[in-house]
Amino acid sequence: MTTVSKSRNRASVLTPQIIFYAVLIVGALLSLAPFLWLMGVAFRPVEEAYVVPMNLIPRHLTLENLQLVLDRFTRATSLVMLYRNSIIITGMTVFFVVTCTTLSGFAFSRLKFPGRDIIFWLVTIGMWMPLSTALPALYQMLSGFDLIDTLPGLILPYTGWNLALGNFVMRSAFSAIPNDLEDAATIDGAGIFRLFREIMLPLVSSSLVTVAIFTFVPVWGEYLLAFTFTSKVDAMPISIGIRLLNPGAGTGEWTFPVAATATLISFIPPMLIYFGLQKWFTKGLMEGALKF
Amino acid sequence: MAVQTTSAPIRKPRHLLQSIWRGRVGYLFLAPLLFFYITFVIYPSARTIWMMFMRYEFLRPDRIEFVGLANIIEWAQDPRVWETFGVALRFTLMYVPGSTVIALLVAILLDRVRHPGVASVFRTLYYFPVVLPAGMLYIAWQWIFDPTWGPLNHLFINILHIPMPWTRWLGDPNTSLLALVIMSIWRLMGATMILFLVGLSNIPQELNEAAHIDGANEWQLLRHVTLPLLAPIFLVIMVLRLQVLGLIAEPLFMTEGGPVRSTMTYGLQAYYITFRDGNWRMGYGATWFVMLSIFSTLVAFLGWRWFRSRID
Repeated sequence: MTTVSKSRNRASVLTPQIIFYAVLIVGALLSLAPFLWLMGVAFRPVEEAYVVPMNLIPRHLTLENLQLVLDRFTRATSLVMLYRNSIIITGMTVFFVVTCTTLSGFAFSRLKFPGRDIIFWLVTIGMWMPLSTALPALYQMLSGFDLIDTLPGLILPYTGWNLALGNFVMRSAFSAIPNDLEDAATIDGAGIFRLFREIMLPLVSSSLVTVAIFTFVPVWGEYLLAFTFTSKVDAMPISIGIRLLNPGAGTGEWTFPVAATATLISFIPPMLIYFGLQKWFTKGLMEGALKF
Repeated sequence: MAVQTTSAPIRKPRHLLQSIWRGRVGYLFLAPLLFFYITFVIYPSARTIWMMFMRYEFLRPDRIEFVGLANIIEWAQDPRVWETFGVALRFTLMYVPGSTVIALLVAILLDRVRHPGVASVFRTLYYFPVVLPAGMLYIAWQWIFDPTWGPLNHLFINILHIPMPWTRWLGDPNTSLLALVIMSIWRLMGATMILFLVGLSNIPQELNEAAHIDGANEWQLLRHVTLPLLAPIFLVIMVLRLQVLGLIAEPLFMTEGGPVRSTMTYGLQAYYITFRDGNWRMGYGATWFVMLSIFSTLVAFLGWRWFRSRID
């Protein structure tokens, strides 16, 4: 008797637990589904991609699509160019944002000067300013400097529009450093520049990584400015350029699975950062959650 | 005493210019940030407001002139304003409640996972779509929605055997906007979820325990403890999501406003006026953009005031 009621008891506790995790797992699968499907397309033989209905899960797996895409890479066609552009644009933007916000974060938290707090809030408001409102004048301005269809034409506005979050995070990071440390360094005769470079900078390095990650990810996938300011392959990032590679009706070797493979390859940098730097990513999400 | 009073003014700078000069190192550290921010954020935003008052057609630079309020008057009489704003509003009314409810449910479930490692695995997976580059996702979703060989129809019709009232998704004016909503909810749910998770983690555990001891069931706990305490997070989400009224990219890349203008949102119409139609009427396009900004700011402000009065 007692064993029966015990096991029934356990069942009644376990059932909600099972339902609970089942719901969570189904939800997670839905979140991943489009990505998994894309992988399924990329690694299936071409014949399996051009049948109606196309199976959700491939029967055979193949690397021939990857081979074809990599072939194109080595043959230096537009795909290499697009990838190269994205790396330069994103890399330079991250560099500028990290440099500017490290300097400004230090100034906003450790130095005193008139207008400091007003300037800080004006910059922080930038997080919520709509980019589209600046679009007409930005285009006109860049075309005035002959920067349309160039890499700096994207790097410069990207930097400007990605400063606010980094500035916020870096100010918090510098503020978290205890005053005693600053006092001790000052008594030892360290000037502001030495204090910044030798004492403070090493202490905020983890926040630097956070800022770099949270600049890299949105800039790599940015599309509105990229679409508006570039129309030629030489300056186009892959987020827009991938559209040029969309397979049409009679596309020869540029088939649908090949296009899916190229798309997946363009996912690699943000995915590496996301899964590789999980620790910093979570930290950044919690610190800057308000941004999203 | 006398010594102190005389020495005080010397330590304190007397003029603003003097204190600015003393803080010069601060400005030096700010200089790079301010250069980028003023040149590429403040200046173009301000200049767009100025362009509102100009006849400015990008491809006809010979005809630029000051026209006063002419653009604003034209905007107020343009029937496309209401038409496209209606589309944006319908998108917002489907997207914001949809994504908020789903994100809240997921966050509440995740918050109950006791094992921190398991919780973080789930959180990582749910947030994953937010990290993927949006520009490429638009293409992937065009494939997914494809009526002939897209997986969505295949899944519903051939595998789950659900009779589908529609199958053309992006190609059908009745469902094109819904398709964009589905994609957007999928893409950004994780971001909203994180906000809720932050809010939930700020709720003290003792409060939940006390409610349980008082005999509250899960639903009562949710209704009377959790949701009221999440009110500030709801506010933040509403204000942030108001941006979708200016939606441009999704319809631009996935439907180009069609079919038959069913996804021509206000933002996309403004974009086309500025960068595509005729001689690129930037002055008039600027009017569209600025008017929306004014409206959004106003709504956010009023919503914030209303919400604050409800909370207090």
